[in-house]
Amino acid sequence: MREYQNREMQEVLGRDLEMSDLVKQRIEDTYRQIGGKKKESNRFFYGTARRRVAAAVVCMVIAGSTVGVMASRGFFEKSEVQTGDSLSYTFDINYDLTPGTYEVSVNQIPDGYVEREEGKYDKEGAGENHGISILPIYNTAELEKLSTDINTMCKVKDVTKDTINGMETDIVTLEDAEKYLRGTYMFQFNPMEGYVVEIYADYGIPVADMQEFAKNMTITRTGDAIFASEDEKQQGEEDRAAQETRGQVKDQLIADGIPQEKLVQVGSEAKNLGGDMGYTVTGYEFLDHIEGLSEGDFFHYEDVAPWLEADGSLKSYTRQHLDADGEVVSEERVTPQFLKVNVTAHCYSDQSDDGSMPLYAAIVPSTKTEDGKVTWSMERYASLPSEQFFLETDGMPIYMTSAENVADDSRHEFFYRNMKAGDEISYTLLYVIDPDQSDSVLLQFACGADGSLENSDSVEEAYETMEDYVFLEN
Amino acid sequence: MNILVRKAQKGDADAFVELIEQNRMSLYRVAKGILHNEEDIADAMQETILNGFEHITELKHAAYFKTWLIRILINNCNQILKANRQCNTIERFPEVSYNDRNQANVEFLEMIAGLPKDSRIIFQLYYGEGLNTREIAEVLAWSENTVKSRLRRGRVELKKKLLLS
Repeated sequence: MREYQNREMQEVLGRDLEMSDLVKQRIEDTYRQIGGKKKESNRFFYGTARRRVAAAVVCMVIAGSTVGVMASRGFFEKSEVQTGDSLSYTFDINYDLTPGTYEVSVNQIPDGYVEREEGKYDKEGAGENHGISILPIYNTAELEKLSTDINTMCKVKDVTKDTINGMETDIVTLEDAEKYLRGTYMFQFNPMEGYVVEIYADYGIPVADMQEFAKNMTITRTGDAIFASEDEKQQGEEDRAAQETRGQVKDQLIADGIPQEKLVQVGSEAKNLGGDMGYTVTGYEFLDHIEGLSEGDFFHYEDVAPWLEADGSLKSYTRQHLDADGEVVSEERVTPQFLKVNVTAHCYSDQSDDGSMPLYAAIVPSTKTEDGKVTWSMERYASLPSEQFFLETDGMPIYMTSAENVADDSRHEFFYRNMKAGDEISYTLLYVIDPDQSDSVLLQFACGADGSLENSDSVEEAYETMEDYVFLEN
Repeated sequence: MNILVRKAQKGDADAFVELIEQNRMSLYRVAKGILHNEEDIADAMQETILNGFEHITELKHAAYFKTWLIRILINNCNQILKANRQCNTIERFPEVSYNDRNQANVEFLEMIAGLPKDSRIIFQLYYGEGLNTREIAEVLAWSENTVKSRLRRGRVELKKKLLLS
């Protein structure tokens, strides 16, 4: 399972929602209450013009596949285009026809399934949240918005063609499904009614079950939708341009390296941007094994225990090397080690809203620039989903002494401590780290996000918001 | 937007309505991240529009209109939550709307819904509405340090959920 990039999170959390009629009406009523009124919305009609919209849905690794074009009148014409190892569905939209809103109902839930909530059906005996999902319908307004790859999967093993309820149906299965716990996708195309259906089955769910659901579905048009206005399209273009600028700033920052004034040596104090807290690393060492540590000082000992050998060393795990799109490019077995860091933290103010101060630091992947400066590493690694190795997640520590939030209901605050101005505490943090990443380690205390690197509109802005890094050289 | 704000500050209700229309989806997304049902969301949105129109003359910099409005909204949402707790309403995670485009997004939204409330709000403001940590700190009246810490904590929890999913 790939990670979510910042941009993807922005797209998902920034997407338009279907606003309920209740809320819409209340807003309209409130406008009248203050004596105002809306301008008429701008609907953009394309007249008889047709526009080609490409939506790359899957990546395919099937040699010798043919290009197929399905000619059809109606709301859209769908084409399949294979370029290299990707498969694109292209939709030629008819703007003379108003897009619709649709309701999906399952007339009879197949045996062995229970409805968990709308659109989601769990298979009995398969575990919680494991079954089949029927996703909301793509109408032509939604298809028009798919102007970039949605690329939900790669490494397609097979595409099976079917016809269900008179609709062309593609069933897409993926390679290495067992290893990566990949599910199966089904797409149904209805150009005459103006929609595309997507059904997803979790790993291990039989294709026959998906087909049974599809046969038992009824899709009803409930109303009209509208295409995105010119303003919305313009905003989308501006957002993309801003994102591109931030990408260029990020590249520049990486090339220049972390500014010297932001690199703090062992024995010196790193402060957070607000100046509330100061952190001094007083010592560190790499360990092949641990012994005599209290289980209560581990954040989640149940995650650590399965990975410990009898002598306190760590077991090997499968490490995946990912490319910039989060796709796996290679795998290897790695035996990690421990990094123990001793810290003294000093509180300088009472400005925290609840007195709760962070004590943790995260390991930030680093490397060297061409001229030897320390910089951020963009190499990305992940553990295999089926192994459930969590010990290096986001570079966070697995252990901390002197924690005060240890009870079950407060443990989510494990790495925080109530402190007031003048308080000081010394403690030890423990990390799991791969040996090939131990040459130079960066620690960033109490950082919230990669804001300065990922979301700056200029290099100057990045330097203003950048936190200190503590540099540990091995 | 600056012109609209100035007009609204002079009492032009249509200009204020236009401002709300420009930000209405952002307000709805944020409210949905905090409140559990559409009736409460409608109440919060209504109160926010009324408060905003009443107090817009207090806004010193037009460029901060969106941040200012979201702050009003969050305060109203919290007031409703507080009132609901006093009525012993059982609190649960906000429901995830399945008006979404693919299974990966649906799973992601479910994971967000399972985060602590503070992290959920920060995620929505940071990734959904494009506010930076300084702006979020102003909206929530927290220190920027707290915002950053909780954003980091949310990301760690999210990564763990992704590996488990």
